[in-house]
Amino acid sequence: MRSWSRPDPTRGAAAAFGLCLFLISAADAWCASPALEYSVRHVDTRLEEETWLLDAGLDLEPNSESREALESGVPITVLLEVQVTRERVFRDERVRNMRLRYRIKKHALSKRYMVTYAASGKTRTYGALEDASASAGTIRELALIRNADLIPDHRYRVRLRARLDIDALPSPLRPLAWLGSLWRVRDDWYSWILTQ
Amino acid sequence: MSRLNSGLAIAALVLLLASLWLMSNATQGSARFDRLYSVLLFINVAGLLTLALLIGHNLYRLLRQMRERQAGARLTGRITALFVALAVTPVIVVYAFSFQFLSRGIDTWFDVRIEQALDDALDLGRASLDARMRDLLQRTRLLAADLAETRRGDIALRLEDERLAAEASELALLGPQGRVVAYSTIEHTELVPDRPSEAVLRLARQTGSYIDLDPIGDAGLHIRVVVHLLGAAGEDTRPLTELSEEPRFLQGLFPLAERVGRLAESVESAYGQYHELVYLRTPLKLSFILTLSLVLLLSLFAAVWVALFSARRLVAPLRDVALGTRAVAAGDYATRLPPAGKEEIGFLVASFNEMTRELDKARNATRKSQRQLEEQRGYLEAVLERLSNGVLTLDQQGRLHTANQAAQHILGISLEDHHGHTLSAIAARHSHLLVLAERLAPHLTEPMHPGRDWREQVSLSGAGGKRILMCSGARLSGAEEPPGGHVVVFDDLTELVEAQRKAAWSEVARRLAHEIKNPLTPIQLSAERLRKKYLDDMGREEGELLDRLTRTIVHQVESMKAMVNAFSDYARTPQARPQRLDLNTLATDVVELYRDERARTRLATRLDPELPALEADIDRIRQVLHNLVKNALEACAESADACVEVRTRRVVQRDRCVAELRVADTGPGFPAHTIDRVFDPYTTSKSKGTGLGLAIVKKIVEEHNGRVWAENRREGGGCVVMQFPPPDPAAAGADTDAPRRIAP
Repeated sequence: MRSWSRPDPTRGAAAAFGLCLFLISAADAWCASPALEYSVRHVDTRLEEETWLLDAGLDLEPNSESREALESGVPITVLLEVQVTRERVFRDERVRNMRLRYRIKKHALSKRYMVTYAASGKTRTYGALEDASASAGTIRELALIRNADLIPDHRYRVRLRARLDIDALPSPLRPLAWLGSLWRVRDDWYSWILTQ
Repeated sequence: MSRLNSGLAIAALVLLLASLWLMSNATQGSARFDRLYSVLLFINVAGLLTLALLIGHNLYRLLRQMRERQAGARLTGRITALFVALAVTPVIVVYAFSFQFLSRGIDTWFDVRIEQALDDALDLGRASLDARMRDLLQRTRLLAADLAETRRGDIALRLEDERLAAEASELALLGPQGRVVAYSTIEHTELVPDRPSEAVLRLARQTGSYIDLDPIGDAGLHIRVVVHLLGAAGEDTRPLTELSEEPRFLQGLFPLAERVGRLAESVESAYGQYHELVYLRTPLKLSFILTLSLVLLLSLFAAVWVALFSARRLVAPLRDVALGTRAVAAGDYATRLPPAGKEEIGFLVASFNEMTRELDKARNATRKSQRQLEEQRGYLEAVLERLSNGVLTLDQQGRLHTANQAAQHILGISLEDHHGHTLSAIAARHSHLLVLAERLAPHLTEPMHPGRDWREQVSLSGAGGKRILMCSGARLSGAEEPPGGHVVVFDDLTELVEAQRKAAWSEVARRLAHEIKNPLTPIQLSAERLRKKYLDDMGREEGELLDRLTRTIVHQVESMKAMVNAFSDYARTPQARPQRLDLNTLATDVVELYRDERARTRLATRLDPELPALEADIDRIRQVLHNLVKNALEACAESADACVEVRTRRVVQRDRCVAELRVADTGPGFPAHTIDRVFDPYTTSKSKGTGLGLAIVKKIVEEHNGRVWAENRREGGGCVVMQFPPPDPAAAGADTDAPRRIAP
């Protein structure tokens, strides 16, 4: 015959304490603003010479932690991700995936913000962080996809998001970025239908 | 397999160590491993978790083995604990001190004075550049004024001249929106000059000029000057189409002097790195401590694992010895332990193997001798079982130990349930063995030397009639003292004695026939001649006397002849004609012959329908029935409620069915003193008859391999019982009509 023992009260208290810690950390992560907030000012997709081009303007807003890091000379990397997906019943098919990296760093002597486009290595400087952010959040005539690559009578969606590239942070910061809430990465997408 | 596992585990540990080393390099800012930092951290954490799980599993298994008291588990636990304690203590101490040194060491990197010095250096750098910047601003303004008066057609040349004169890297005229109207640059490969940002233009528009340091890509630090052109350009002496739009700004980019630029970059770099380090102070500590903790955990886990592994390896031979000892205790002498090196434990294992080898040899020898003993015993038992002599073995106290089948047959009881009983105890349950027990008791109890024999003839009277046994015995010799047990061998001499008696009677009969019958005829003839010769010559009275006497002689001689003939018949063994016989039918036929309505003796039959058929000479069996029924009728003739019962029944004896025939009467029964001899010739209580009736009955029954005995009934009267064996199956197929002699 199976006997039932009374539950250990200390074990229950430990479990409750652990649950509270988890909830507090989850709430902290939920409430804290992401390391890089963004809003889409405008997007425009147009077909030119049988190629879909994207113009977009994003307002990038680094949070206080990111700003402090920048002011302390720590470079941050903004990652703009653009995807073209084909709508399906269960899970959309990813047709194109593009990543644009912009490295922002403050030059102490000149007090200017240097924005370097990772793909070309070209650098531009700005006197204010807002100007630098606006530059990093501007996409001009990005070739999305050739029109011939689109299957007729299918709906395509363009998705766009901006986030901080955690892997580009200095290595000592990365464990904190993964585990802490101050460097939380916003991973939601702004999307719209690609009108053919 | 174990070696392979060990190799894999060591390889995994080495990989983890390598991974930790790489991660440590990445933490210290190594550009080579910086991008791999995340991967390395994940690999290390995952590896440590796996190692922890493995160790946890091993510890759980060890605890379970300890709870189950498995051999070697407790020793493994103790050795593991000792190893872990020895390994963990210094590691923990080193970790604690490293933690302290790390925290304090990183803190010592930072000093307010250094920070201030760097700030001052930066300010100094700016201040040293201020004069140069003011000079360049003034010069650019003058140039802007000159350009305002320059003809548009000469603007390009003028820009080139002025750029060379001012050692600028670039001079450009910009439109209201910052578009390049005309420019001159040191980098002729650049198609488009470096345009100022909208904010710079806005500032220049508002204040009339803008000047600041500007790091321009790979070109290094530059002084960017933008001056707002207030007036229009000079007199337009060339077509307007050569300038796309009205210039509004003049921008000049002036590189710093090489040494100044290098120093400025150095100050900038040092300042930036220092402030980055200040910002990363806490994360850096955490990162180093994380790496240190991972190293500590790896060391700990490796120590625990090595402790477990070593303890198991150390204890394995001892555990094997313990298990081997248990196996030997359980009788498995074939146990051989794997070699365990040449150390002391190896010597122990080798000794154990030698011991089990010797034990195995001894056990095999014992088994062999035991098997031989069993074979001898089986042989002896087989011989005993096939002996016609009964054999009993008794222990020291006279208790029955073994008995063969013949003994049970002769004694007429089953001895299966009497093992361990004394003969007296057996006789108490079977009264016909009382005589045997009494006669053998002295031989079994008196002190005798082993091997000295005794003999004794015993007569048993039981339900099967009288049996004569010749018993002989001896005390058995045994290894232990005192020598144990007795053996009693007995032979059933009944049939031999009967045969001897029958042979004696036959000889008597033959001699009687020869010696008595021969003179009878001359006697009879002489008496008849006497009568014939002298009867007529004698007087009446004398004649009558002679006639009476001679008649008496003749009658008596005839009577003697009849008696001698009967006796001769008894001695003669006729040819038997066996055939299948239904005893019930025969009994009914015979009884019906004697049934008389007027007679006062009642005749009854109780016949068993299951009675097995016989293979017998019907005439001889009929003679048996006639003799017995006639005897019974005569025996109970004087009884008040005279009754003769003929009964048949099927009796199972020793796995075979025999047909039993009982002829019972209500007469006075057999006298107790003659009941054992009623079947002997001339043993009769009757005044008439030859005295051969029952003797003939017995002779015929025995000719049919049957048994016959007489008994007195409890309710009064005598009873003759006969048992006939079933027909021999082997003879069943033979020609039963052919006459053959029944074995006596």
